Parts: sequence; structure tokens; C-alpha cells
Amino acid sequence: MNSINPMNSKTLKTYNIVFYSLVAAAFLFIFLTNPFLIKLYDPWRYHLASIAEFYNGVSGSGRIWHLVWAHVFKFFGISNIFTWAKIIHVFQFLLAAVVMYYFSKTALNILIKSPLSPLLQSGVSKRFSPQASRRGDLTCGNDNKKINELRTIQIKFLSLFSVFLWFIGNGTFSVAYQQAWIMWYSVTYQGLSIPLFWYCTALTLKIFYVEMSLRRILLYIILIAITSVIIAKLHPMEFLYYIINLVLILLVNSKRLLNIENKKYLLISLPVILIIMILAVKYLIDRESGLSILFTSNETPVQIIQKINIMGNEIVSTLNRFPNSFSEVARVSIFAAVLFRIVYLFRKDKSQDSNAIYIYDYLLVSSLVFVLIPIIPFLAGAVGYITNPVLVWRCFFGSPWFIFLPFIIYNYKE
Amino acid sequence: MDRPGLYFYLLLYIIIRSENIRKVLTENPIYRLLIKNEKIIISSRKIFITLSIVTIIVIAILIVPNKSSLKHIVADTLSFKTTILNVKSIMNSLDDKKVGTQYSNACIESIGKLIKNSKQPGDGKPDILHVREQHP
Repeated sequence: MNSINPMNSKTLKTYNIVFYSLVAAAFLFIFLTNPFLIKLYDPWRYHLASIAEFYNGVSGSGRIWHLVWAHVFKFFGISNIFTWAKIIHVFQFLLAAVVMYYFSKTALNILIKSPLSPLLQSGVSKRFSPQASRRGDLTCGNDNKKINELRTIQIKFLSLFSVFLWFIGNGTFSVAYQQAWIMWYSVTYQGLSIPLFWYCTALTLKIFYVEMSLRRILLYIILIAITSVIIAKLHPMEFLYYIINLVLILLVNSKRLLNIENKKYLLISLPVILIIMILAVKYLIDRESGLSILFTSNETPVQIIQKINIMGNEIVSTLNRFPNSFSEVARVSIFAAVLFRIVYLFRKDKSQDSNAIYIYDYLLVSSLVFVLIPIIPFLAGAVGYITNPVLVWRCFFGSPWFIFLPFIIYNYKE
Repeated sequence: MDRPGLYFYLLLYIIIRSENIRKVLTENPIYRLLIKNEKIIISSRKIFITLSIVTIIVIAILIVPNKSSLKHIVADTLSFKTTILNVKSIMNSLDDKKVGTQYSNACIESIGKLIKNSKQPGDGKPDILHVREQHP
């Protein structure tokens, strides 16, 4: 991409046309796909049946997701179950695509456009400053604007690539079928809760890494609160991913949080988010965590650790579906990310005054933690006690591994 | 020690301590962060995070059970089957026969039956709807 002359507006226009054509093709593809409705499998047997229960006024034990869809279909007078499935499938597939694009674009924007991004080669980073470009106080303001536009379209392409990786790199296996995650979960409540989790994470990244007005930060906090409540009601597992992510952002950025000059907004937003989390855990998740039961029992700390280890070993050796969800492309992506970080360690011309390295470290640590949970017995046991032992392998779906491959390819291309 | 001497030492002590007290009050990180709103440069080890990442990887390699050993992960990665199967599954979704959308009218009937037979409040019938046999 860098071989083109950034001054050439025709090239930029061509890039834009190609990009929007790809987006249109992707939308068309999503509309043409079908939901996975093999009889006796969850989407058909449990989810559509639960919606049908609510639709027919039978008091079922379905969740709020089923209730809402039943009311939507009743409102529009749609009674065909296949039409229900297709509508839910297309809606959730599209939502997943849009939200994953938003998350990828947010993360890549901070990684690539961060002023004097130390992750980029020095020659490239010195040419470009988004702040200066916005202020328009450069002598070569027009050039800078063109470079900015070029970089924006490049980020759009990279985000699209990330979304593609996310769709093909997450999967699951049941009985005789290896399915892409979206195909399996498109007609379940997780088809909604996982995209919402990524949306929450993207908003949190913006609060942490992008300079914003207080009004906008408040808006994002309200959005995070509403989304957290929906996630906690739909499927609390994704809520756990979000809490783990929040803790990791705080840990990885602890030094940077002290360094930034105007900490007022951040210091206000952090306790607010934490209070929302505590309230959501306390009042919206109706089952008590096994871990709290374990800690309030009369067991000694050594016995607790032993119990966690025993459960962890059982999860890893018998209940784990890790090899079917953790795809090869994800392995390659994370391996490349670790290599990049080690190479960066030995780079001499790096600047410390940037958000880019902090977000990179957060994404890398988060990826590794979510990938290691289903592999390491102790972590698997701890998460098994918090949630459900048979669901620990799903933690892989909380890993932002799909950001690295596009970013690293871009970085070396530049 | 006579009394004036004691007071002298006490005064000296207070002066020394007051400097410390002033320092504690004005130079502590919380005061600087919240009230003076200034930058705090903490001398951290630059390689700390990288070292932690390397440590996590080493621990992971040491602790992972035989089933998911590094050798297996590398072998799986080279065989490259999950991702290909996932692409295949997305492509298969274009074929409604392969994903069972047009399974049969029997499916609609089966849902109807399930709803009919499902537990009504207080009717004592078994709750057959929520026996989940094939959870992914």
C-alpha cells in the first residue's frame, strides 16, 4: 500500500470504491447464508422452542432473549419458525460483523494513528501526526491530510481483515460437526452477548486511550452500563470476560494512568464503571459463584487450592474443547504478536510518549490470558468454579487475537 | 537533661519532622495525582511487561498437560484443519440442505408437539423441552 503516491486522490478514491464494494459483497453474503437448524441441536431444540413457548403464551423457562424475540415476532405477525430463524440469524450475523469492525477499527486506530506511534518505523511515524493534521498548523497541511486519509482507508481495510479472521478463526465442535462460531451461535443468545461484550470493550478502550470531552465520556459510561446490564441478563459468561479485560487494562496501564496529565475524567469514570460492575454482579446474575461458596466454606487455603487444581485438571483432560475452538490462524496470530513484542524490546528508536505500546501490551496480555485459561489447570479450575466447568473452553472467545495479524502485516509493509 | 535542652531537642525534632510531614503531605502520589493534577514519572523497568509475557509462556509450557503440549499445538497448527473447516462451514451455510434449514415439515410438527406436551403450570407433566442433549 505504501508504494502508491499519497498525493494521488484518484488512488484514494479507488481504495474507497474497493472497500465499499467489499463491504457490500459481505452484506450480500450474510443475507444469503442460512441458520444452522439441524434437529435436536440447541438453536432448534432449545432456542426456537423457547421462543415458540413465549409466542404461544405458554410460560416457559426461557430467558429474556427468547421473550424479546417472541414479542417482536408477535408484533409483526410473523408465525413461521423458519422465518424467525432466518431473521434472528441475519440480524445477529450483521450485528456481530458491525461490532467486530467497530472494535477492530478502534484498536487499530489507537495502535497506528497514535501520535509518534513507537510501534511504527521511525521514518513513517515522524511524517505523520493526526493532532497536527486536525489543527491544520503544518506548513505541509495538505500532504498531511492526504496521508491521514490514506492511513484511514488502510485502517478500514485492516479492520475488515480482522473481522474476516474473527469469523473464520473462532469455532466449535459438536458431535460430528466442526462449525464456525457464528454459524453455530447465530440463533442463540450468545450470538448477541459476545458482540455486545466486544462493543463494551471497544468503548472502554476509547475511554482509556482517546482524549475526549467529559460529556462524551459520560455517554460512553452510560452505554457501557446499559450494555453490561443486557450482557449480565443474557449470558453472564461474557460479563466475566469484560471484568477480566477491565482488570487487565488497569494492570497493564497502571504506569500510564499516573503519567497522563488530565486524569480527572479517567479517575471519575473508573470508579463509576467498577460500581456498575459490582451492582450488575450482585443484582443481575441470579446464581451464586462456586468460588464464593468455596471461600466461605470451612476449607483451609491449601484445600481450596487443591480443589481448584483437581477441578482444573478434570476440565483440561476431559471437558475441554479447546483444540476445536482455538484455531490455527489464532495460534499464528498470537505467536506473531509475541515475536513482534520481543523484537520491539530491542528496538532503539522507540518513543515512550504514546498510547500505542500500552494498548498493544494490553491486547497481548489479554489474548494470552484468555487462551491460557482453558489450557492451564489452575486457571481452568478457578474459572470453572466461577462459572461452569463444561464452559471453560469458551474463554477463548474473549481473546482479541484477530487484531495482531493485520497490524503486524501493516507494520512490516510500512 | 535540663528542661531548656529538652525543649531545644524537641523543637529541632519537630522542625526535622515537619519537613518530612510537609513532604508526606505535598509530595505523596495521591496528593499530586488528585489535587495538583501533575504528571508522575515512575521509574519502572522497561522490560517488565515483556518479562511477564515470557514468564507466562514459560509457565504455560511447563504446566500444560500432555494433551495440549507444545508439540501437539505445533502439529495441529501445521495440519491447519480447524480454520479450513470453519471456512467450509461458513461456505456450507449458503446451501440450505447442508445446514438443515429446510429440514422437513416434521421439524415444525416436532416443535408443535414439544409445546403441546411441555409442562403447564401445575400439570405435573415432565419438562421435556429443557433436556439439552446436544449442547455445543
